Amino acid sequence: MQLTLLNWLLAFSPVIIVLIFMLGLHWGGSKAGALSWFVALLVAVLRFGAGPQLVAYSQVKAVLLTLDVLYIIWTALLLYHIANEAGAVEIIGKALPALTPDRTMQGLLLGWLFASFLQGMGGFGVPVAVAAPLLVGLGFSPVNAVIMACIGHGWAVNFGSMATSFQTLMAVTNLPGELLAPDSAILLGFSSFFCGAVVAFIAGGWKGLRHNLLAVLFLSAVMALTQYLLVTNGLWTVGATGAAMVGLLAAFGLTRLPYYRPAQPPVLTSTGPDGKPRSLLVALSAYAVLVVLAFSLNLIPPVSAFLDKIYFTLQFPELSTALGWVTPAESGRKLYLLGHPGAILLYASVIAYLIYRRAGYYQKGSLSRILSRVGKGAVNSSLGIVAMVGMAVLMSHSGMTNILAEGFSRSFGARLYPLVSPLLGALGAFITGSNNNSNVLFAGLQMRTAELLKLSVPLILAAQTAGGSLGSVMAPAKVIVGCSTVGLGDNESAVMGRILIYGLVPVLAVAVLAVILAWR
Amino acid sequence: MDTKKAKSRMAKLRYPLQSTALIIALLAPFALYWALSLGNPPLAVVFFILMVLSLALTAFAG
Repeated sequence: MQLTLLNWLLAFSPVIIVLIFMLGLHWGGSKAGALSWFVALLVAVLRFGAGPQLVAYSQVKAVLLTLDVLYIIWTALLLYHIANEAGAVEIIGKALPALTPDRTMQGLLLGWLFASFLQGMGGFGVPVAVAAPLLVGLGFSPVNAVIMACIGHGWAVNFGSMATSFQTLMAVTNLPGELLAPDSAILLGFSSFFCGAVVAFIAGGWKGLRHNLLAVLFLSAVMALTQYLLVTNGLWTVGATGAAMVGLLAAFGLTRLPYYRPAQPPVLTSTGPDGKPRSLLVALSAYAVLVVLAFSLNLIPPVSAFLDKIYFTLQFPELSTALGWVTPAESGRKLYLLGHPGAILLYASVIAYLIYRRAGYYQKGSLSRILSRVGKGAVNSSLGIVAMVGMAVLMSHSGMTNILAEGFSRSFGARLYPLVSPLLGALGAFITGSNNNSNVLFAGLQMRTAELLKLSVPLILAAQTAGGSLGSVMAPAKVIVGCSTVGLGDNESAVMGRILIYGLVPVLAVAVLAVILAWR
Repeated sequence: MDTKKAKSRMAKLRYPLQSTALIIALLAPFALYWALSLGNPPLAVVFFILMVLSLALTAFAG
């Protein structure tokens, strides 16, 4: 297929459809994704010569990729609701600001560190929904509270939610995590400083930022290093969780310094809705169990080898379009039923449920409430992923992604493309509301462009997913969630304008670093 | 009034419709693969149509 403007625009049309319907008409990801799937199908068949066999097999491949991601989404939501129903999330959120009377540090603890921790554990809008009301409770304005909670966790999205977005990046590009993790960790670790600095600025203005700059630098360095060490040792599923936990511990240490210390020692217990006392340590147990399980199941080779014995995959024949674009015969994505990050989340969920139940943290009917919330929270986003992964796989198998990549590589060239790459990732996440969907839409395209321009593929993919991670927190979908929890239901535009300005700071920082790293 | 009633009925139906669409969207491709492996094109067409219908349902109820 020859690269012409018409072919390029047709290849881009499914993405444009997502953009128009989500951004312009405020459709949800599932609805817009399904529509763009039909557009991709029409273009692939009528213009790019995709036959029925290619279309059919590409959709079977897509559903394997989808299941790989959905396994994590459903079980991550399960763990979050198990902890939330026990009141654990509220207890942790109330205990943190009691550590210091310094307003900027309180903002950093809740809007940056706690929100990042929540992103590591739950994601899917949970950090904003939980942290923003807590910030309002501390006296921050609702608009500032939403912006702080959104921007603060931007660096943690890629390796958060049990690294769902990173898992998608691996699945879509068919590249191993070991290759993709280092550059992604460097770019996102670097951006964590800017996320923290923006939160400090909003919380305390220039004065608050100046007074806390060393603390932000120290905490971001600690978290960036922790995340790097975790993900480069195969523990990407707990990359953001582990980093944010270490960040919270380091911040706890900082608040013991005379500068931050309160006059009275903080009380680390709270009361639940039933009036009974609840301990912070028991509240944290769900997350501690997850970290212990993830470390032990990943780092003990006989255990991980045993768990990885049971997997599911399918074989696919060589597929080609009438115009000669060939996808070689290959195995589909392997779905490890017992050793998958989703399985680890499931084990942690069961253990956490038993701990909370034994501690008497649940009221009658809690299990059915947990399951119902998981179902209602996950079905719609799952449909969006089904549709968008189906569209992306169809686009790559019919040569549409290749045409798009050729267009980008000719327009920008090798010197400029690393600057564009994170912005494209951020745009994808802004449109679709998710780092995950951005990776589905653009990872194949970014990889192909990097190959054509002879740039480092892991670096460009890292720039894509880092941009996606930071761009997803500016997405209207997340802003709406945040606004609805702080009583700004009709005033999202007040937040949107400012969040775009603040949110672009870490994205541009990543873009500059990507250019520097590409020129090494 | 009628528009309100229709909206409320749709809101009630949304979750069951989405759940149905998701189940079909996740299962139909495996049935499609099975039909293709058997070399049975008519059956493959049936499952492909089911898959397309699940996405149409998603576009309607998503």
